[in-house]
Amino acid sequence: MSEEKKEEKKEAKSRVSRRTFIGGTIAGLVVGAAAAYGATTMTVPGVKPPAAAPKEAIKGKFISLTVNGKATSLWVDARWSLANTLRNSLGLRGTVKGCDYGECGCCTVIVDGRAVPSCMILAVDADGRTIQTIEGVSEGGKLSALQQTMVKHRAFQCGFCGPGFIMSAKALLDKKSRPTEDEIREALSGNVCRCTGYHRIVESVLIATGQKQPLERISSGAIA
Amino acid sequence: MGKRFVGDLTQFKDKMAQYGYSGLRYMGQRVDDVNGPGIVTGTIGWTFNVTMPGMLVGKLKRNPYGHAKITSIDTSKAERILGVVFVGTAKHPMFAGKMMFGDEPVLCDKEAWSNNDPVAIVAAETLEAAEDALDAIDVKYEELPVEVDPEAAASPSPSVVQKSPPPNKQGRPNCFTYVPLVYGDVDKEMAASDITVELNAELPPDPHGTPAPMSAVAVWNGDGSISVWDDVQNIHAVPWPTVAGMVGLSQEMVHFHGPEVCAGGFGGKNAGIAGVYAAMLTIITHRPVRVLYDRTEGLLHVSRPNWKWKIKIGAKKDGTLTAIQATTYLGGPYGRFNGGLLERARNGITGSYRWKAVKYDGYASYTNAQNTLSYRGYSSPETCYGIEMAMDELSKKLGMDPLELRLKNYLNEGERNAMNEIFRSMGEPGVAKKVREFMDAWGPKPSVPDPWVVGRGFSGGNKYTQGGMVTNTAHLKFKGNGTVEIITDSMDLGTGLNTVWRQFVAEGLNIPIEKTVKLEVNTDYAPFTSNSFSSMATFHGGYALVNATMNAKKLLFANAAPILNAKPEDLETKDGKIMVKGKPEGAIPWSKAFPVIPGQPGPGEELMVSGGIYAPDDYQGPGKMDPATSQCLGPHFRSVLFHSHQANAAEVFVNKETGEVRVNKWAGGCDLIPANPTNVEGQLEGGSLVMGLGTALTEARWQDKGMYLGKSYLEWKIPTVLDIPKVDNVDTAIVPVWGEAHGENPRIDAPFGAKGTAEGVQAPTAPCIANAITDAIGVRLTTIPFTPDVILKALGKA
Repeated sequence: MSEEKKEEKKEAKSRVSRRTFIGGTIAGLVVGAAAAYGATTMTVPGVKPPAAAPKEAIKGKFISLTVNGKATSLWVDARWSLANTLRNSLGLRGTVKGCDYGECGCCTVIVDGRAVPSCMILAVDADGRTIQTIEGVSEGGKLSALQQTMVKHRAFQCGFCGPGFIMSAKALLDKKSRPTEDEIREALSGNVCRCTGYHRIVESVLIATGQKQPLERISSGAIA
Repeated sequence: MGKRFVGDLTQFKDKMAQYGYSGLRYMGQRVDDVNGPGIVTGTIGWTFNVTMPGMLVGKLKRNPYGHAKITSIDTSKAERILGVVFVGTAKHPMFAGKMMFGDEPVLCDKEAWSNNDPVAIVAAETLEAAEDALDAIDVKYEELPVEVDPEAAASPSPSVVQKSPPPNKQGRPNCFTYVPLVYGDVDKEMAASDITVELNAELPPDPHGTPAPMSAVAVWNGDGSISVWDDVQNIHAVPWPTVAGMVGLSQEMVHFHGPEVCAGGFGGKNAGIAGVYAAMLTIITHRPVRVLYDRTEGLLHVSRPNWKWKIKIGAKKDGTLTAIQATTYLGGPYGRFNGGLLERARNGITGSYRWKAVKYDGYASYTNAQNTLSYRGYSSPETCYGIEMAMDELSKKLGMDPLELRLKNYLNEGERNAMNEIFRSMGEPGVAKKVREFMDAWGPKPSVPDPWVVGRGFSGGNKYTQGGMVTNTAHLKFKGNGTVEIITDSMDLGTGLNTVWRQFVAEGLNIPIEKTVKLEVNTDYAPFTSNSFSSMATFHGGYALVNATMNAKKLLFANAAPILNAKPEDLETKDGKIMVKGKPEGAIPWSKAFPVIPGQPGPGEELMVSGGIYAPDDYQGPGKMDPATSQCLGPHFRSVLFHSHQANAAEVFVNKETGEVRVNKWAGGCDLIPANPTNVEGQLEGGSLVMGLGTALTEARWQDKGMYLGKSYLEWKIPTVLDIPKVDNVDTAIVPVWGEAHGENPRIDAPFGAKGTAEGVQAPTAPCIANAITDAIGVRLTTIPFTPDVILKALGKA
């Protein structure tokens, strides 16, 4: 095997992570607080005590976001994705994370009017943007018309993909109130579901937009 | 919209009456999913949403090779990284053991058998620190020879012998399970056949592929116990004893919590392995720990094993089936649940058909393929795949309609199959006819522009659920305010059990469903009711709950009889009240019939009642099976709990230039009384349109020397919404048959006659698509998935 081939193979096996990628692009960011680590003082045999001081400063910055209509400002580590920031720093648990590669759509949120997987945006790059999450869809605890249809029509099963689908559908419906089936399919094509076969998800959007009739609550053969 | 057929359920009302039928108040109704609001807001109790203050991140470093010798592991650099709390290898006694069936190292020490095997573990304050630490762990490997082919691995002299000492079943060093079936004289019947069909079929490993990664949170408690939240399909059967055993705690010291809804299971979350690592790390660090797999780990950690089938069937000129001879090879790096697959494949090979002779040999062997776990259907899709393609070929050779051929050979209700089992709850003819009716209603094949061609296919299917690994007890807690709490360990995987349990209880007690609540699934108070695998939860869990409602009524009516001056058998209950039948005016709240407490003027505040399947006194015993022939001995013994049947039809467009396959129309059906038709239709649609089509068309598994390349959805192609037929082109049928199980004496009914359905729905899809493609291009393809390159190769264009 030539040296070049060996090198290629090594490359293929090494994990291309967000951190290594970001490592090269970090320059120019504001150097922020370094006290994120070392909160514990418990000592347990066999466990390394927390380091006294960080060896290198953690890079990050303060960003401003408008999330579900509310302006907020927070410090973010330069390596954090918007998905992790929404979940971990802002406590918005409805934005679930499936992959971190933008391939499943579970973490879809609406950024400046566009549906995007929030794992593919760095929190620092979201500075100044307007973001809508699933929490903003059912404000005050009232489900939106689409959410209500999805519950009635059983659009989801395990539902882990659900919030992402709803955000993708909402971004479409915000632009067009009665999209065609093809437009719905296109808008939802970045969201992956393993349980439902997508059938009832698409049907739910058609029902919620008045283009299909909902199923009768009682199946015809089953009336006592 | 496409058609949705639900057959008449009122025909069963007399049978349902014995279990507390209250006029199909909730049984068979499209009751809204109780999980719905939590799901559409993302607030439901998935394990992913469990969090603890000060929680550490646990991550595993994994073997990049197919099979390798580990020459050294240096963790010193990783230990020095800021935020890293613990780094462990197999040298640490906590990680030195072997799990599952004792053949799978917690962390590999000297050798890694398969790609993705864990070799080191890290606990850190943040995900970033944990990932930095993984990169900093220096593991030196030497690559070793690899064998991923289950047939080659099962050879008497394999190139790679995986285990020391080797299991050596049937003189085959790597073979750890061998399952035979012998019925009649296959050679004689095959020779007497007018026509025979032979085919070899292969199914590659296929990950379960849930968007939700596997996750667990574990917390060390001050009393030395631990609490574990694990994203699992069952708690009692595998994960709880596995976690407790691996960390060396008695089970009582492990408080194990299931999720409110398991975030997609399909068999891949039966073992709860993430919980083992989380538990170990919390015991070492005394900190809460989350172990959350990433997508690559999710796709490489579990899959359906690699299957190879060799099938030969024979028939007479008139289409009467004569004999089937089949051999199965399947493999994986560890035993996991692979041995049991062969038993189910054996049951499936006899299928729903009447054979004069059957010969089956199944071999499960150790290979260096990627790791495995039970997969939706637990052999029924793999088995039906071979048989239903062979039936299609046979119908072509005979010039006989594929439905006619099947109808001629289906077993009858009550007939004995090739394992000497009495066949019950046989709805396959009805389902097959209904699905065919849908297909016929599609009209003539559409004309498509060149180079596209159209094909249509049909397939039957079956799933035989076996019992076992359950205790079948459920509790109902009646409260003075009219509420009933449901206490069971049966997990909702999105299948709708949280709703169906409430439907069963509300129907049995004739109360508003809003008055029922299902409590959290955990090992502290939930009994071992049923696992949510093998489609058995509706049957086992449902029966236990329905039985509990019957027991409760017996107790309440006995206590209420003196108050109402009536005999217990003359009483009925409705909406939390007890009354003489037909006389609601004298009704008393059921809390008045709770047992009286000594020293207290009236009844207690609560009543706890249990239920379950308990064999009556005249039960003739479980019988047994002849291990050499798999023949059931004794008049009533069955290895199958209940039979379920399905059928699919599909219309595909195939592009002869690019090899692309598009599914234009699809219809699917199953034979059962649906507790909730919406749930059953959801299983039919999801089982076929994502998992079935993925298996058939897109989910290819590429590997190079045991190194698996499909590390994301972009490489392992799960179908998207663009791959499924449009909403008007999807038809479903639920053809009701009464669910019966457990042999003849006693004959035990399914709860309100409702069988489980989640797994079998996938069984007919891949053969149906294969048959449709054959219809379109005139070439039989047998190795899935049928990706464009496979189609072009079959057409001689690649």
